[in-house]
Amino acid sequence: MAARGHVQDPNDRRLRPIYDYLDNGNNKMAIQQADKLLKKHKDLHCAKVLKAIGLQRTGKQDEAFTLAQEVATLEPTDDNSLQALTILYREMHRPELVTKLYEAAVKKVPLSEEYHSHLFMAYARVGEYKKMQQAGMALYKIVPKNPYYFWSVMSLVMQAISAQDEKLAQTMFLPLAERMVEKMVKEEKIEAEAEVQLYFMILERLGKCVEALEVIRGPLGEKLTSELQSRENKCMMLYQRLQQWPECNALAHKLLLKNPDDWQFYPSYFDSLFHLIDQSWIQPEEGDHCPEGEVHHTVAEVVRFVEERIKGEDGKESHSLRGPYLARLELMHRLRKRGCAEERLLGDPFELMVQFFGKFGDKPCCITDLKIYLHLLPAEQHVQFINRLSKAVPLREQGEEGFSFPEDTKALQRHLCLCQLSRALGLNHSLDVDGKLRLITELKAHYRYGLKFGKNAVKTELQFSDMYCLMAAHVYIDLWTETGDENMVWQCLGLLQEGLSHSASNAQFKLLLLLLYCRLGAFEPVVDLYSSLDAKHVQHDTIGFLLTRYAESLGQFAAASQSCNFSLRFFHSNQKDTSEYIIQAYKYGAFEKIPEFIALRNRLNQSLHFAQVRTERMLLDLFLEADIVLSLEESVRAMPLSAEDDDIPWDNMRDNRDLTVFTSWDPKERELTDEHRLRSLEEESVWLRLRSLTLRLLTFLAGLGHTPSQQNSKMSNENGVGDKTSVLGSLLSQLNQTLQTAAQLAEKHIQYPFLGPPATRLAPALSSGSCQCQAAALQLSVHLQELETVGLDESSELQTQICNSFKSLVVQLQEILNKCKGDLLEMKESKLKTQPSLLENLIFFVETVCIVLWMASYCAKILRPLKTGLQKKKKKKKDSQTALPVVVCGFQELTGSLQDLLTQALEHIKGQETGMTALKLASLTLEGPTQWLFFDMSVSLVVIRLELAVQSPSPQGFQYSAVEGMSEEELRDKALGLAKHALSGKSELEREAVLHQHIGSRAMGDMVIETFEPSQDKGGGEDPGGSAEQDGELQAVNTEDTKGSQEDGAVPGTAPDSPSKQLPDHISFFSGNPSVEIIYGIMHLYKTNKMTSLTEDVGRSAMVCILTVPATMTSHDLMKLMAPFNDVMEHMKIIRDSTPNQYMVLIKFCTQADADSFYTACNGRQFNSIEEAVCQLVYVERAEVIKSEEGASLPVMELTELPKCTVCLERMDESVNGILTTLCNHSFHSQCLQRWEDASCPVCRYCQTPEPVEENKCFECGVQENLWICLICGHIGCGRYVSRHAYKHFEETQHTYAMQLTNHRVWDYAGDNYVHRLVASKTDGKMVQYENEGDACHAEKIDALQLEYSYLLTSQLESQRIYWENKIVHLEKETAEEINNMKAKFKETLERCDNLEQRLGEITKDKQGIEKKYTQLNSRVVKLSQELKEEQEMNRCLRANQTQLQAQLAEEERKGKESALAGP
Amino acid sequence: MTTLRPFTCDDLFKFNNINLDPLTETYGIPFYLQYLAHWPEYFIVAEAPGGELMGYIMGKAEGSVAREEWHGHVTALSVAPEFRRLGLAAKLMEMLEEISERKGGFFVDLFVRVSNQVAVNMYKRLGYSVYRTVIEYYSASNGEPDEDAYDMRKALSRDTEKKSIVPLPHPVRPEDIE
Repeated sequence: MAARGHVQDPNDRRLRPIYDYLDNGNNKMAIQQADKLLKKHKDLHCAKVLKAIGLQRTGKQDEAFTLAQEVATLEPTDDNSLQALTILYREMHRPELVTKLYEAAVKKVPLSEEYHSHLFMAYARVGEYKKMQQAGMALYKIVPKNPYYFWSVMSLVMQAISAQDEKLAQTMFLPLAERMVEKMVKEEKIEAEAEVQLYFMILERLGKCVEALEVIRGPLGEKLTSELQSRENKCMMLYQRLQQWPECNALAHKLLLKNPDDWQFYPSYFDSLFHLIDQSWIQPEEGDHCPEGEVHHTVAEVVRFVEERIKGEDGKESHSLRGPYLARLELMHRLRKRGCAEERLLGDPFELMVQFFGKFGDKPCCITDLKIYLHLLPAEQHVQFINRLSKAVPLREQGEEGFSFPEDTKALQRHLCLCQLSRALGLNHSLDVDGKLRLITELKAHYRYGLKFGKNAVKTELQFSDMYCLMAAHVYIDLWTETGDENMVWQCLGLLQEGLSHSASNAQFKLLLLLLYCRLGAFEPVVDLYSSLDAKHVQHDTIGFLLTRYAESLGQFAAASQSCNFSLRFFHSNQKDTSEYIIQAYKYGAFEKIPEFIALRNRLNQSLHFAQVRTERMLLDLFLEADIVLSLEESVRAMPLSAEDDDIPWDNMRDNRDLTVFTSWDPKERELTDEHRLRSLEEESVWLRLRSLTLRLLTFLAGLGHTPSQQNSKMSNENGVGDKTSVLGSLLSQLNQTLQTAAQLAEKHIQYPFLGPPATRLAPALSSGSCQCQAAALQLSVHLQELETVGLDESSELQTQICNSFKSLVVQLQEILNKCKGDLLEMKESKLKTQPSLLENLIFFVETVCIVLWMASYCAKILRPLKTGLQKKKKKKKDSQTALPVVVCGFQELTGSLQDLLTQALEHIKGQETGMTALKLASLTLEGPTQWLFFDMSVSLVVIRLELAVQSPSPQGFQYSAVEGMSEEELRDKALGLAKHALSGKSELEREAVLHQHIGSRAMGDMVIETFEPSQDKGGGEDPGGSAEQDGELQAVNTEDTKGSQEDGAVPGTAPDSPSKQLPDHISFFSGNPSVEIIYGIMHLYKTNKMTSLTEDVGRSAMVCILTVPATMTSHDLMKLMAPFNDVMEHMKIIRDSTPNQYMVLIKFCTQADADSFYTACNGRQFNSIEEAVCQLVYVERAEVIKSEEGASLPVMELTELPKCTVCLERMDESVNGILTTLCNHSFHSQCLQRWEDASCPVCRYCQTPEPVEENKCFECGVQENLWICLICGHIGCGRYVSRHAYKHFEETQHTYAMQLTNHRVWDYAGDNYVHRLVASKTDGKMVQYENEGDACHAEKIDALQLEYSYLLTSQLESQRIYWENKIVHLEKETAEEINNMKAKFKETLERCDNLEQRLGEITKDKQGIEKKYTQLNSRVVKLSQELKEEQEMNRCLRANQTQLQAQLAEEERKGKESALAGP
Repeated sequence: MTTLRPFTCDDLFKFNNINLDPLTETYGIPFYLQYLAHWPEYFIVAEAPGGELMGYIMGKAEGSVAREEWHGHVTALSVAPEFRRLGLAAKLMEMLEEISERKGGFFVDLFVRVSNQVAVNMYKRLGYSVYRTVIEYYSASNGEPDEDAYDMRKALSRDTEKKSIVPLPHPVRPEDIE
């Protein structure tokens, strides 16, 4: 869900829990929460929409829709509602409603960029190109961004692509788009690469190659950078379209110089050459050269160019590229096709290919490369070619088998390639049967030898030699198809399974196995194989046919239905998902991809497989689930299907099957051709048409079922029936027509290659007669309809006709049934033969019977009212003499014969079952060496030790050792070495203590050993008379207890008081003859701690032990099991110890090889088909008899003593996790004990749980409470508050109904509610109304309330938490902001402070300066004033002087004057 | 001997020989479409002369430029069994690196199963180094334990000091990687 994160909006906060519930899939809570919210806030539209989403997801589509429309009509403009509605409409598959939504929103808020772009996307989702164009332009007007403009342009292009009228596209849409782009180009507004791409796309679609070329080569082309070589590739394409061969040639040549391995340019290079030759092009005058560079216009030049490239590669030290070498072959191929004599220039294809093999033979793809050019070799050179190549394969000296093997993986690859080539040349196919068998032996030998190179390979890797195995399998298949010898297929299966065991992830093995199993009619292993392929998504479409083709025809309806479901789910999701990515492509400007995505969507929607699974799934549902009376109608009603409309795109059907998925090296003439593909598609279509018509007719039939109710209203009836008859008529005539086509097609007997498309069910359906019978049954509905309108009285002719049809239906059904008879599996000349076609016919019979029964029930429905009418009449007339109408008699006859037929069929099926299980698989042997079955498997050998009590006699001839040439003493040393060491030097008492400790709580007991030895004078038990007598005798032995046998015959044993052997010559006429001994002690079973390989040449042992044989298996049965090995068996010892109900058998064979073949034949097999017990075999390394006092119970080095799982007796240490020890101190595999039905201990019958109670538990997790049982298949799973396994089961299987085990209430997963009305009463099993007041229910209610309440609480708490958390976040943010502000202020202040300080400093400095100046000035003032004073003083003095002088002067003057006067 | 070309939707119907390999995941159609819509240049397929698909690489460009984490990412790289040992994977990786160079990426990275020793070695040969281990990145289907992944990186020329590939000392959990 989108649009969260804004905490501020209170609505968002309120809605949030709903979003969360929806996200978590808790739809119910979401609905509740929404309801609550809506009570408080009536106008919170979004809550309504979210509720609708919840409703939609719980299957209440209608409610959801009304709710959504309520909101939609209000034309909301808030983000939340719009987005939620978009999601809802998409989930409803109603994307067209989203457009309406945003149209309204845009109208209300005309300037919103967001809503406009949503509107555009909404249009894109539904493909309304014209409106998209407008929306794009509107967007561009609001916000002039380039992408919006180009969205609009692309919408034009899409209009052109989708236009019905090509002319309209070429003359209107595309030119308009071109002009729009040109406008941008002129205004130099082109910005992005995508825009240039789009321009190019438009020009290309317009066919304006010259202009396109200009764009690409011009400055706009420089924007094309993200894709590598994009410009070059585009130029090349345009040159070709423009037929500018010189440029084409020159460019290709230039690009090849750069990368001589780039294959795509070689064809253009060669093509252009031939075009130039055809045009007799001449190098123009100088100065007029081709803009792309040099042009090669003669073959010689081109040959030289290729040779030069090859030389370049030859010169390289490592990693030569294959390109130039293959190009030479390609050139030769093309020259030859033209009939060009200059082919010689290149040399001899023979030599060229030999050279290629020499260079690249060690690459796995060598065969794929050369295969295309093998036709260059003339047929007579084929053998020579292979011989020549084999010289280039370094192999070792010939081994014993006459094969020489490769030294390393490279040599192996070369040899493999050689084998593949010779197959591809058809040399395998020309061999005779013996030759082929020899070839298989050789391939198998190579396969097994090659395994050693991949010993360390991890599980996911393939083995180097896997292809040998596959090739051998192919040869087996050749033999099978040619000779019809089914043994070949068995061998092939074995080989492939072997291959799979070494290379667990080889898909080719799996595919081929799958195919073979299907062809043999064995579907069981196929499901696992297919699921291990892990095919998903699109692979459902491409290889799903492998499964769906066979599942149904082999009667695996459930598996078929399931595989159809998987495929359907994929196809449905495609329809929804693809549109979203078309929108993405607009967003990211991947314009080129838009038409591609649309094509993909169409390709999937038109897939043949889609139509097939759709049809078959519905048919299967009907066959599986529809009951005769009611539920055909119901089932049909639930299906998206109508009789009138055909929803299969017959004309555009796409065959998406991957028919090349099988690797094959078949020669060309045997390969799959296009013709095959066409034929197969045609055949599939016809078959599909038959099936779809059958289905639609059945739908129609179901529809007829409820006409009686409509009968009341005459109006609708008249219209309805008139309509309906015409539909019925047209459907039936189509069916008949298709049947005719089908018959013609079947006559052609189209043969596909074995690995090609599987043939349809058409031919077998026709030959079984089921198609015709079904058609006849459906045809009957017309007559029945007629009868309904006419009534019984005046329709005797019609009635006879109907009766005749009834009769012929029965005859036809009987014929089909007859074709099913015979054994599915039968032994012929000791070879197993399968008859899958019988099974197939049986399925056809079942399907046909279903249809006939539906028809019959329809018939009954019509006859019933007619008959009651008749009876009323009878009563009125009181005329009991009138016979029943013909048709009623006929119908009664029909039901009688149908019942008869069904009984026959059931008996047949039962017979098959028993026949198959009773089939003696023991008599099945695979021809040829069988040892390979356990190639490279390892086992640990076991040691059996009898610990004897002191007084017990020791049994004769029991001791055995696999290692030959060891003396008895050495053996004893080996066995008792440790024990001796432990016991030596100890006192008697101490020794006893040690021994006692090791024996533990085991107690010694009687052991009976019976020894059988085949008589020497009788050559095995082949003689039937002989073996019968032998049987009788053995039974006698068995019924007597051991004491009885003591009395038998003479007692020539050495110990007179012991029961001793009965010599075989006493009863010489039978091959097995027991001698019985009783000893007292304990039997120990050890396994050796080292693994021994199961390969042929490793020494194991000639003695084999069957660990456990159930007591129900008499020795007579045992002898029967052993019968085929009587010849090679030395003796057989049956050991019975105190363990009840079972015994152990030791069998000594003449040679190890015999033991091996017995092991292969019998290990892991059931003793007989009725009991589950399996023959578990182990090799015995030695069997010892040791006295207890010698320390027989003490541990032995290299050996591990085994507990015995009394149920399966498998060595338990290899699955330690599953060991369970019970109260009575017996140990078992837990799984085995589970299978043990009752609660007592299998060994001592100790009762674990005193009262056996029903113990139900979840199949998946084992939980025991809150369990639900599926009412369809009985699966038990836990409820949704535990681990949801019951629900998971529903999801996987679509089994909708489950019953709670405690209170028997039934839940419907589809409706998500309880659906039970009636439940079986616990006391008497009667159906009673479920009581609501029941205690359990009450308690549950309280529980539910509590649960609900706690949910409520948690949700409230959660929302509170979120609220407060948000608050905290908010506060934090604010505080942080404040702090930041303060910090800033503080910083500012600091700065100012700094400034001031600085200024202060400056000022003080100034002040100091000034003060200084001041003092200076001051001193100067003082000085000056001093000076002034002095001056003044001086002045005064001077003035005084002056006055004085003046006075003097005046004196003088007066004197002078006086003198003058006084003068003369 | 290969045609390298952009992957198209039709190739989805032909790639079984590549995708039936157990280590190659087949994704839902939306996944492929997302890549084709968003990073078409990063989705390249190799085709043999006979028309068989040999292998493909699928990748994307992502990460923040500001934090110097803009890079090319390899989402899937797979080569069909019969076309292995030809150096095709190396060639495809080279192309992806070239494209990432052009887009100005600082490095190319990829995730690989720790157990897939073959692939890890190949990437090492191609110059990639383990940047970190992602715990339980690959979820197993059938009850087996989830598997760890190596996040391997190779610096491109834009990351001159090769800062982006300095290995992280501790493994991370899948939810910690963006």
